[in-house]
Amino acid sequence: MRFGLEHPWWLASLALVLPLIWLYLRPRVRPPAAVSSLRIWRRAVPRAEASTRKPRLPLLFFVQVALLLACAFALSRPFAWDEVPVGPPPDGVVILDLSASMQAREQGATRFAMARDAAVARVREIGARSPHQRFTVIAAALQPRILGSALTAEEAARTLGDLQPVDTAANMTAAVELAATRAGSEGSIDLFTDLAPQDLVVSHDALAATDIHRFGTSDDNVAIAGLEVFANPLEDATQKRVVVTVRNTSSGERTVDVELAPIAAEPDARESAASGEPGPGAVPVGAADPNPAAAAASSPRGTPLRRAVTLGAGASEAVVFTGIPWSGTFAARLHPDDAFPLDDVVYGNVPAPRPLQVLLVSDDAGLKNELSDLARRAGRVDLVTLPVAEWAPERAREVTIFDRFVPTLPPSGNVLYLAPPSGNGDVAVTGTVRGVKLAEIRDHELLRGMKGFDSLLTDSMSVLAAGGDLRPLALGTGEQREHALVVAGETGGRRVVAAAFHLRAEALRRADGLTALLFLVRTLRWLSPSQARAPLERLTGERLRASLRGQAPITRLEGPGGTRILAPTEEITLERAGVYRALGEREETPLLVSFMDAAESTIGRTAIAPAPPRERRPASVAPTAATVRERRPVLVPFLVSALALMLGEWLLIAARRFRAKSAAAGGT
Amino acid sequence: MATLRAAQPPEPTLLDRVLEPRVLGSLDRVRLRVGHASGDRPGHTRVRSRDDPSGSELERHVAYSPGDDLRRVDWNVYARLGELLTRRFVAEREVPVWILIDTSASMGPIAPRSKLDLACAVAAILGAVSLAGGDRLSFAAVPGRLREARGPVQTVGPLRSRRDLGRLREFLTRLEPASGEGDLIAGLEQATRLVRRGLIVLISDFLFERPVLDGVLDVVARRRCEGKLVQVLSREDVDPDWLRGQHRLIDRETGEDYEIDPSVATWERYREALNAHLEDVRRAGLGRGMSSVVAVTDVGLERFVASELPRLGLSLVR
Repeated sequence: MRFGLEHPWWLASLALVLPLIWLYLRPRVRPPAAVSSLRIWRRAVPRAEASTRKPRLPLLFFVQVALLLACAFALSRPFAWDEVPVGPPPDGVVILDLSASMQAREQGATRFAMARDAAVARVREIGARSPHQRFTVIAAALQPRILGSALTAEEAARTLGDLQPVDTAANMTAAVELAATRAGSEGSIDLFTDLAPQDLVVSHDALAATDIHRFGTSDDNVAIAGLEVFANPLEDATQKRVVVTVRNTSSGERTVDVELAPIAAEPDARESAASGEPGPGAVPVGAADPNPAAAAASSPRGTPLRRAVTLGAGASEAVVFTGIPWSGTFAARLHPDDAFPLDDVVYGNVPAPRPLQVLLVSDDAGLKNELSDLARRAGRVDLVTLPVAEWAPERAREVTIFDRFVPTLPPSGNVLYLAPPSGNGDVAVTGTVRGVKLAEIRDHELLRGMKGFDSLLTDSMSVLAAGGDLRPLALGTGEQREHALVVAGETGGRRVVAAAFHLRAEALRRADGLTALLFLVRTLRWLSPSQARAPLERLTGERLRASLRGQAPITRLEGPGGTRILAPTEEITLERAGVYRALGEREETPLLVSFMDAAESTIGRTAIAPAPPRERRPASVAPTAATVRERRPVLVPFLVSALALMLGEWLLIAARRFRAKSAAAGGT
Repeated sequence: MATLRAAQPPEPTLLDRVLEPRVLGSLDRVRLRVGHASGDRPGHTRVRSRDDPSGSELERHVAYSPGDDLRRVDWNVYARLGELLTRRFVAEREVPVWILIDTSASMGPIAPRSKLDLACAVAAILGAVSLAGGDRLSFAAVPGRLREARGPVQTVGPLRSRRDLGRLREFLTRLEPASGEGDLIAGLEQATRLVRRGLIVLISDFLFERPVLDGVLDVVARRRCEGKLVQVLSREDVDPDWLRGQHRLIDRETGEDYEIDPSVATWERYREALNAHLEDVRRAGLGRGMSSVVAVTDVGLERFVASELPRLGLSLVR
């Protein structure tokens, strides 16, 4: 430990010692004092002592000098400092990759099991060689987690042995950089992964300190890369389609069966996928049918659908299932499974057929007749018409169409405003405009690919003010300004569409009025609400909030990995694929979590010769970690000394006076 | 409002206080008794408590023992008490009383309550008592000088009655300490050259070196007189703690200086040295049959008369 001064210039105050010495030793003019006789004085004080004795500094002088020293040093702010290592002494850091690709099978065992066993063996080997070595275990997932620090070899082995892979990617960069900070400049890192070194995006220093233990070379994988369900209440049930995109990531041609199977209560998807056998609740899969149409036609209600597809090396194919005879949640599964079964199963939902409930509020009898006729013919729309004068908020339905009328308060449910007058809270209208020409149609499913949109425009149209949650989909120019013709968006959990024009009844009636009909159907389809009790669909790695807008909060989540209680504002990362039960206070919603990650599904790795791990320095030798000067003020001892010296000075002066008084009293 | 402070009257000296009629009146009934001192010729009216058949002053009664002179039996007492008591008488003799005052420079300075003032006051008391008893009294200042007259020895007397108090007052008030170093032994020799037997009271501070002290006492002893020593000291002589810090001490008599740096220890050693010196004076006096007392300037005269004079062997009888 060494010492220093923060304000050393205060030491200049030590110069006060010099005048103090001078005050004590200065030659003094002795005042004369007449006495009766010197005889007694000569007898009492020998001359050697009286006049020739050397100057003698009293104890008070030394106390005052010490007081000056203490004060000077206290004002100089003394401190003790020492070189201390930054942070704790570096541990041996072990990183285990938990990413989904580590679940790929290699010769009977998964990469993760091989890596975990190797990590445990490595830790025990180092521990046997250096009993004082301590370990930090980091699990590399979407976010790296430090599972323990300063662990003994046995504790680190136990921690590693308890780890399980997750169904997400892993942020290896963050994990290795975190490990590098824990290991320090002299530490070492052992990374157990299936990544090649060139795929690691880390700093040079971190990479230099890292021993990469790599596992896995197999590329035997065909993955479900996408799943899309097409169904809306305006279409016939036989028109529902499911498109499964399959990708072959292996280097050879592969033929697989794609199966769609409804699930009532899906068991743990991982177990089913890993074993290649359907779970207890799954419907048995029939033999592959080379004729998709026949298979679809022959699929009874609730039975799985299956298609075979042959994929070249690295090829992708969209497998389309039409005429889905059932509705509800289903699993799309590949057969036979491969080295990476996790991406062989995804989950989806086919909505149940149900007529869309529409309310038309209009005083245009022609429009009411045309829409009623259209709904009657379509058979999927339950249309109710209402004069403007009879509008009441409680009359609102799933979709409410206001024709040239705006209620004061926005209704519940989704809304289509046609040529609204001065707006309400949903849409702001600033007036009317004439002679507007179509200028631009932006990409949106409402207007995508629509031809002849300008035929919908009328002479006089409302001026819509885009903003807030509504954004313009079609723009026109008129009166030297640009105007929004159609705005749409979600506001307050409701979908709102506003058109600057109204639909003319004759346009719907005419044979060439396809544009108006198409606009109306697309709008109704976009406004059709999702089914009640429709399952939540997520991908692994996504975040799930306990409270979703417009939905009851989730308090408990049951599924793969057990049960988890959620706080009202909690947000969790979905790390396991499978079918969950999201339970709220009163209702239960299925949660379908699928794994679809092209990077993770590409499990092929270039074979490389394993590099021998570097020799680790025995932990008995103290590592030379980076150090920092740690300062500790040592002011208190000087202040206490100064106070003690001041007290001592006072006592000395008081004692001198007391002795003088005592002597005076004793003399008389 | 401004007030005028009255001018402080000069502090009266001890001598002035003693010579006040009230104080002198209180000394009227006081008698001075001496020890073995006696006059050198008959008729000296000095008394002492020594049995002398030739005396006429009844001193006391003692029990009769066979062989006693029957003429001295007090028959009146026998008639009253039935006991045989004989009367004892003492002789009355005139004893000359010499009061010698050391007026060397060490007794100065001239100031109220100085050593010289106290010495004069003590001399006045003794003189007043002696004159009240009809003694033959002489004063001498050794070595001394009057303010108007210069000389090694100044004397006055013999004084024989209270009528001579005016001369006594004049002599004492005109005394002042000598300047420079004086020869006390020579002065005493001169002052007592005519003295033959009697009582000599020597008033001095006795702060002499031992040879001088012995010489002074030997002078008295050679005169076959009864010697009494009154050592007069000032408060500064007794308590040295008025000296704080370094000082240059100057001997009033010799003018020598002596630098000291007094401390508490120094004061203690001074007191020890002073006590040893006082003891030396006392022993030196006792060795020559002289009793001694010490008077300090700030101790009241009443206390001195009441307690110190009896210790001197000078009994005050009322």
